[in-house]
Amino acid sequence: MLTSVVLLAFAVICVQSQTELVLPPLPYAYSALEPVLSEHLMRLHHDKHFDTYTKKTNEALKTIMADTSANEQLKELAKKPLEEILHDVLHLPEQYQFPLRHNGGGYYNHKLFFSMLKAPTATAAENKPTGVLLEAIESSFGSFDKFRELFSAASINLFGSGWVWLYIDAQTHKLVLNFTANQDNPIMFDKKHVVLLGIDVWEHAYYPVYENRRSEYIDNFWRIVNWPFVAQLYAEGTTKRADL
Amino acid sequence: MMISAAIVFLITFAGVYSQTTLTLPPLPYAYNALEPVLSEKLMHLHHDKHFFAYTNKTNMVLRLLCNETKDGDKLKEIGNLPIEIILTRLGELPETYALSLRHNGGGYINHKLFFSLLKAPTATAAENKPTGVFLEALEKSFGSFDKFRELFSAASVNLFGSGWVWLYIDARTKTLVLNFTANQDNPIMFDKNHFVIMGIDLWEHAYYPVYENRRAEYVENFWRLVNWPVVSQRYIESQTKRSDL
Repeated sequence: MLTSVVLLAFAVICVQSQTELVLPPLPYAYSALEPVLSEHLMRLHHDKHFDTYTKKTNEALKTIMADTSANEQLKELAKKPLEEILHDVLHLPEQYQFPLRHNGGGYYNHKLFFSMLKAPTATAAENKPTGVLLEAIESSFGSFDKFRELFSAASINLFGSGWVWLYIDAQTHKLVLNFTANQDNPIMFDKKHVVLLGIDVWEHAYYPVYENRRSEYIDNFWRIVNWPFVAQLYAEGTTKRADL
Repeated sequence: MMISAAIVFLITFAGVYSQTTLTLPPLPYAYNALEPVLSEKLMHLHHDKHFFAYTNKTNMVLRLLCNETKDGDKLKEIGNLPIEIILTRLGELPETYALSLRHNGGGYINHKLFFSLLKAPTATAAENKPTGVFLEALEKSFGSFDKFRELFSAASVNLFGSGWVWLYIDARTKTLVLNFTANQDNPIMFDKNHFVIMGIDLWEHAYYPVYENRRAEYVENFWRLVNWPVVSQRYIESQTKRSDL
């Protein structure tokens, strides 16, 4: 009897946790990124935008589970961790693809983004990576300053809504810069891309503080990049790979 | 003799100059005229910063295009056409020009149209409706004005990322259709004979200073601002210009 209760509870939790994404709290106070990103902006960005992506992803997953015309393969995919779903999302039929790509992508991107930030340094110049990550950046881009220049240019030039990314390319194993539109993420294009750093250049990410002045947002973004966290992603990304 | 030469020179100069120098049209109303639906602050940002940047950037690209010696005079000729025509011929331009004009030239014509379609708000959305032949056309295409508004609003709320929702006369079917474009694309980029009647800017900058993330609220209140006489006039123009209808 107890066993069956435990098994039932376990089953419920498993099904529940696969389909119920939770809005992760910010890893710092809402005001921690002042004056680069204001408390008000962080509340909007986290409690409204990120929260909406969370809810809509959960709705999309529930809809698939309840959809009698959805095939078993799709339902199996919907039970997987979000990251795995995103690996295959571009192959799904449109009606299922868009809600998961848009909102699941939004959830995944924002979860990553907020964890890559920290309280600002006084200037951008004094906030730099060190160690193997710095070496990898220098190896791929010539210098850290050159990397920053290229990343910033890509961020300013991105038209519309999207993200600029630094990631370890799945094929070349090199650090690359690239951008995605809307809430797309590099892992949608190749599950082995290892995302290290990203910047949200949707207008909501900077408008309350910078209004139309996106380049000012980008200049100040360098003050809040959490390089130790990014270095951790790099270390994880390079150790998992038995083929490097 | 001198005077006529001077006049010819001035016309040529003005002609060439005006083809490649777009001006930022002033708002057809005061910056605070759309309060409380769109605040004075938002209108200053939207017009003086965003629309202004599109104007400048388009001019920069057009200047380059008009000095482009590749392909003989072909690119220069295109560069001297009105922007609305250039945007129907982007496929004839090298990619860097095409992309830049699509973005900034698109931004220019979209905002020029958008601001001209707005007016001081009515107290409620319900009391702001079109009349006459245009209302009849909407009813014919969508069943009722309310149904049209519902569909337009739904499309606006659902558009993901940056873009616009449009009501236009389709080039082929000659009927009123609803559609959306991403970024600063305009229906004429897809068919030069699409006739745009109205549109709504759904880039976050169009509503964030007042509505923050609440796009649905912006869309609901947008209906209080639509200048139906201007929109109707566009519809009437579209019907009279077309000799094939």
